[in-house]
Amino acid sequence: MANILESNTSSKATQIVSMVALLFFLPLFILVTYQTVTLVSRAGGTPAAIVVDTKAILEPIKTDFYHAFSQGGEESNDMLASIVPELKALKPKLIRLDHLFDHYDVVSGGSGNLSFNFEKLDTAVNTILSTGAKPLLALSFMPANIAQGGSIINPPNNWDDWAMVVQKTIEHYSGKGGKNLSGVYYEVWNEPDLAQFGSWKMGGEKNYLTLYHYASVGASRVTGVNQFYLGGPSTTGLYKNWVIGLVTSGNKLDFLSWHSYLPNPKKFGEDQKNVISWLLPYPQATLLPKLITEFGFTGSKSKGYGTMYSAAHTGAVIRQLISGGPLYAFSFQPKDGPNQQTGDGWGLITHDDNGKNKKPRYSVYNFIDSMVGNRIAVSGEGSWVTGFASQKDKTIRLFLVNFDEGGTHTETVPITFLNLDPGSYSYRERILFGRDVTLTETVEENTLSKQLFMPASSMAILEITKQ
Amino acid sequence: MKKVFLLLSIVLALVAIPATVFLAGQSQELRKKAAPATSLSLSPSNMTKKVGDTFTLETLIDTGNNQVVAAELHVIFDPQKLEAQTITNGPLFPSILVSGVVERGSVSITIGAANSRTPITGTGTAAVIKFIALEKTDGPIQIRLAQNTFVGSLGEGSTNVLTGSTPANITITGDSAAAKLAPANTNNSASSSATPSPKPSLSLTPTPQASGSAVASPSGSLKITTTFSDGKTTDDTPTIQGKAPPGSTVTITIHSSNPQTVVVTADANGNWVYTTATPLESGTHNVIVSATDPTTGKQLTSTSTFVVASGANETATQSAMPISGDISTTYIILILGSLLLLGGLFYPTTTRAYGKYS
Repeated sequence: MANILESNTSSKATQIVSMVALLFFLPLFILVTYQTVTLVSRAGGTPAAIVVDTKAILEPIKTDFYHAFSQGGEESNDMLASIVPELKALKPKLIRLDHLFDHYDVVSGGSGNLSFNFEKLDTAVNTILSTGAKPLLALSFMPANIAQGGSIINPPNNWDDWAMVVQKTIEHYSGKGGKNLSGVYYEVWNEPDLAQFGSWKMGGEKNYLTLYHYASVGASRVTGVNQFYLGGPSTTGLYKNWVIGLVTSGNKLDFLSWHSYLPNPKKFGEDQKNVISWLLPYPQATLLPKLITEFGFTGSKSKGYGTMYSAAHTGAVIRQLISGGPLYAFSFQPKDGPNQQTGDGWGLITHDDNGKNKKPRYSVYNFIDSMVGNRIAVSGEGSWVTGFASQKDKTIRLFLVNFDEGGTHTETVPITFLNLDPGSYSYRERILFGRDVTLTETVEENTLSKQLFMPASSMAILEITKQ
Repeated sequence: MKKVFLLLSIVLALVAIPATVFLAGQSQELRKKAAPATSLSLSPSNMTKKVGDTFTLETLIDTGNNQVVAAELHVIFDPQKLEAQTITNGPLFPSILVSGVVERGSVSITIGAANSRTPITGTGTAAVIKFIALEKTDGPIQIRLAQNTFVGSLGEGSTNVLTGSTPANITITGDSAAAKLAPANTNNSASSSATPSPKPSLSLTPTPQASGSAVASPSGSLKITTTFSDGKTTDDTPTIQGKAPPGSTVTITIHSSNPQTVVVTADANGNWVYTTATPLESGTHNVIVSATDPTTGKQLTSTSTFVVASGANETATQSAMPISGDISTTYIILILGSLLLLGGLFYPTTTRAYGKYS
């Protein structure tokens, strides 16, 4: 059946019309789909209406747990040396290093006749110590000279060599005759489940449990050492079979670790809940310290790491973990690798070749530190704006963060402080990288109500102090 | 020789099997006695509160012979009568393993010892829950630990060592007369009302039992009684009303782009009313009212939410979603797209181009 177009136009004209229609319609279709998805997803959310019960005092707030940082191995040298003052200002408790055995020339010699030279690694560890932090050393990867096929992501030809590498490393850093450090964490491998780092499994030829077992054997052979901690599995996410597999393996296990690159901050809280529920049937393991040894909103490089987006994500994650959280959550990573002028590096600080500039996320940790005190009850958190409150001396503080995965949501948040003693209060409103104003407020009926406009990816601390 | 070995084997088997069975039984018996020794109780176990009262309830643990490392507590209650406000760990459990969750009708928290080298033994407070009494009860109601409450102990594997729990009973009185009848309040001045148990009501409509007169709001009660159909109103200057202790000062805050805060006084019957002076914009609004009970000096609060659906077309969003764009653009794009789709159907432009049809 011929249509109007066919009967009145040439085939060439038909083709042109088809092409124009296609070119016009396709972007429109994509735009409509995007807008529809955006509208539907927003309609599903709940705006916040924050109520702070200033007399409902809960547990003390811990602020140490997020002062932990994990540096990747984008350079095989002492990457952090050039940012020591900036790192020191972050008051780090732990700094993690990986690539110990493929970047720092520690192990040489052949099977059964290994030699160890920690000079280069010592430089990097000394840098960490100079910031006031202790090191968390990810025992990775396999020294090429003992690895099958010379590949650093393979098992060793002789497992005793791997045990020896672990033993000597622990003895060097935790040994009383070595660097004499106490409280060093040793994590077995880095992201073993990732293809890039070996695609280790919980069984088969590349069995992580075997890798861990021989690390544990090495750790058990050490003598004359201070307290140290051995743990894993350092997977790319929290996986039940890895956690339970390790817990039931019978090896020395002092902590559990995993990485979390999750755009939804609430998933971090869910992970904590999940891991505890998995461990409740294993009472000897329920209380093992949990360490998120890397976290961010994505494991890929992203320009979001250079904006308020990642800052707000970090703030929102801290909110989720402020109660019932891990022992430490390590932000990845302190410093960009080289040649990342496009601004998509994971660092809190740009590389030396890009000005060593602090990115917004750098300022989050100390900003939230002012929340130290006893947690007090907050209700009315929403889908995007979340927060927590604290009380210290005569000051009530409320931390609020507005984060949505799209990075576009804005909201005016009603806030009510209940059960205040009547009187005059100083009211301070601080927006990170924004205004900082202090007013005087009079509370007559035990309640103070405020409204706060929160731009996309923003965070604020409101303070009220009885005068 | 073979026969001797055979006989010996049979004798050994005959002795070993009952012995093994006996020892296993003994072991199980011991285990039964030890493992089930942990119990939880809610304290105080009996109490009387008035509507609007806030109070705390402790979850006490007696570990018995167990070395407790963690406890996952789930407490349930009648959400019509009670509202939980907070839950946190008690002094016996220094670690919060999973943060407290407060929901309608339930609260939960998972708590633990500092580490497995120092498990918890003995008795003490595991958790503390704060409640507010919402409505009068006809008699005692229970707050209790749910079935899925779990206590883990070293050496007991996945066994839940919790064997029993004791609930708390609470009676909520709804008016001052009832409160005065309570033994604890016998010193209060007696009410002149001799009407036997007038059914308390927080509605503005007088109840028949109250002989046609509006019932005064009970001491300690604050409530917003305004109700809108489906929580929506088309009136952008809605009237908010409720009950409060008679004569008390009620602070009303309506959250919108320009929050409105006013102070009104409850009348002799405890009624208060406020009609918003400035029109409210379409969307969700939170109302928070607070008052101080003049009798007890207690701070009372109540919150409510409603949607103003005003405007030319009398429609409004159910949520206060910030509008960051104009939906009309989407409509235009959708219509254009649909027209082009229809055009494509009527003009099969690919026919000649690919020569599929003759």
